[in-house]
Amino acid sequence: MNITENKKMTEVNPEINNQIVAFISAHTGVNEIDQHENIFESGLVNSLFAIELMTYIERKFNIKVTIQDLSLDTFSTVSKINGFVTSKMTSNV
Amino acid sequence: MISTKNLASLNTTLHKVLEDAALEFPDKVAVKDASGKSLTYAEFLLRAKSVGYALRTEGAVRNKPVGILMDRSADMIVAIFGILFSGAPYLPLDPAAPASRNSKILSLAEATLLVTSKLTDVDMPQGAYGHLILENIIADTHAENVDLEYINDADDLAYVIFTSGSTGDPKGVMIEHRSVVNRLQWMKEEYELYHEDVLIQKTPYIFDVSVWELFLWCFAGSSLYVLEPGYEKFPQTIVSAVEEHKVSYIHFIPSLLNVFLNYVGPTELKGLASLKYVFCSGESLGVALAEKFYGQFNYEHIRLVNFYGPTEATVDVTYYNVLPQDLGQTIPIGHAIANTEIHIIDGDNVLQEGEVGELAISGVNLARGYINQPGLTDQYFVYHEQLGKRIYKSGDQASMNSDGLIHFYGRNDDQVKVRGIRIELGEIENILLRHASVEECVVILDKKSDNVMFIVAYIINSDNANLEDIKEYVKSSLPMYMIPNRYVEVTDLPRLASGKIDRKQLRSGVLTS
Repeated sequence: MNITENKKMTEVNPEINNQIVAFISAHTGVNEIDQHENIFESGLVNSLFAIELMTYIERKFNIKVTIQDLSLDTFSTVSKINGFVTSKMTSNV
Repeated sequence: MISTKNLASLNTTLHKVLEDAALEFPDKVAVKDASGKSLTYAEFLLRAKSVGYALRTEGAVRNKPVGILMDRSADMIVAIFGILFSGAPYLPLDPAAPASRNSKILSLAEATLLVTSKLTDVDMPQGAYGHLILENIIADTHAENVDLEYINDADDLAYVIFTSGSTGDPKGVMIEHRSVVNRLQWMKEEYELYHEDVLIQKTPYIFDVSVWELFLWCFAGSSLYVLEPGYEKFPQTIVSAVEEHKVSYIHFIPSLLNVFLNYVGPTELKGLASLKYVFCSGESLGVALAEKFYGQFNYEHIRLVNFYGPTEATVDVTYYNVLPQDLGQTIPIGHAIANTEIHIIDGDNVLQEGEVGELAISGVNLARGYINQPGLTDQYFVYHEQLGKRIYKSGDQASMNSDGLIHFYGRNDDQVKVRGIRIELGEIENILLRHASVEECVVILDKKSDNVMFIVAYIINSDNANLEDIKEYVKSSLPMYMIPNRYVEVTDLPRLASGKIDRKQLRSGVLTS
């Protein structure tokens, strides 16, 4: 279970990726976002934006961000957000 | 009985109000937190008094601040009241701030005692002060420790809260008990706080919005729920805390209310049914946000209130009860609260109705001044000849109509608000300039939207020092909320014809490295 989950975390779903990047771009005006760039540390977004992002992915991908998931690290790179969304969508099925 | 209509009745203190409530409601829940801790008024009073006893034994006296450095919990509330029972004002310190910052604040305030908790990991600040650990004091509670002589007057200090100062050092605002009692009693009367109400403490105690969250509950025999530290950012945790503990009064900075409302759907709305009032302050409350609020909440059940006030006049001095219709172009900051007057001035002149000028405040809510800074105090707290009163000059721009209704128009200096927190950009600049390699610098606030804003530092690096070194230095000097989100190295800064730096051009983002 853990092994397959880890594997899923590393797979990049391009469709989800594009939507996450589009959402961040719309709010920052920056179009090129590296998969592994820490969007908080690089100053691209702040923690308030992270809340908007959580709300967006909940609605867009029909998943639930629970209190246990509330760590800014989960949302710190496009790749991690993608992995989080993917694992949530899989566990919903 | 305390009433804002009877000035003499305000001659009391926060800890006296608590003690009276504890006599009336000994077995009612006073404070609870996420760890499952729940204290009745009688239990809370006993603990707070024993902390007060220990501090007084260690030398706590009236008007000399006692520092507190711990994370939010029920015990933190005990410690704060404990400091008040000792007779001293409390001085809140940020557990996440660098030790050097906290040492600076302790020394500026000349604090000689500090209370910490075993449960909070902190970098201990340097300095010559006595150090008490809360858990040790509570473990050592004896009945005789609570027979504590009451030594305070209403004009003794209740707290000293530091805010950003443009010179590079923060400044400590000294607030007296009578001022806080007036502010809180007014709120209890205006919003009919009742002993079955529950308040939530979620604002970090280093900001003065926390003051009504920390103390208002005991004015009506109500209860307080203390949210886990760090969780105040997340709508999910706020919704579940409100639902589980039946919270009825809550505060939001407008930008956080906006993300909160975006998050709240039909399921969450049901969980929020216990709410009666949502209070906003710290930033301008926009019409769009108020419309969004009443699009989700029914005015008959939950009401939105807009507060305004600087730390120098005890949390809030004006209020506006927002109605669901006829919102107009902008939401006013409203009318003055009890025993407080607002004046619109231009230097020595008092302006006419409708004219825009500087907002000045007089009355019971005014601070004593800035601690150990008489020069700075005299600059902002002045006797105004035409008004014949002592006023605080806020630096905010506002106008007042014939009914005393006040509109706010922002500032004309370099003070900014980031998520409700007041920041002097000059303080960040002056910290940067203390680094040997920073020849010149400008710090601006880059506002992408009402919700997305960044502190950007433009730096002329004289000897090409590693930028990372400069960043590390800033991190070790300033609290998290003041650290620039971005650094841009430049060789020149854009200037106006006057020679002043062109901040507008920098804000428009034209200049990049």
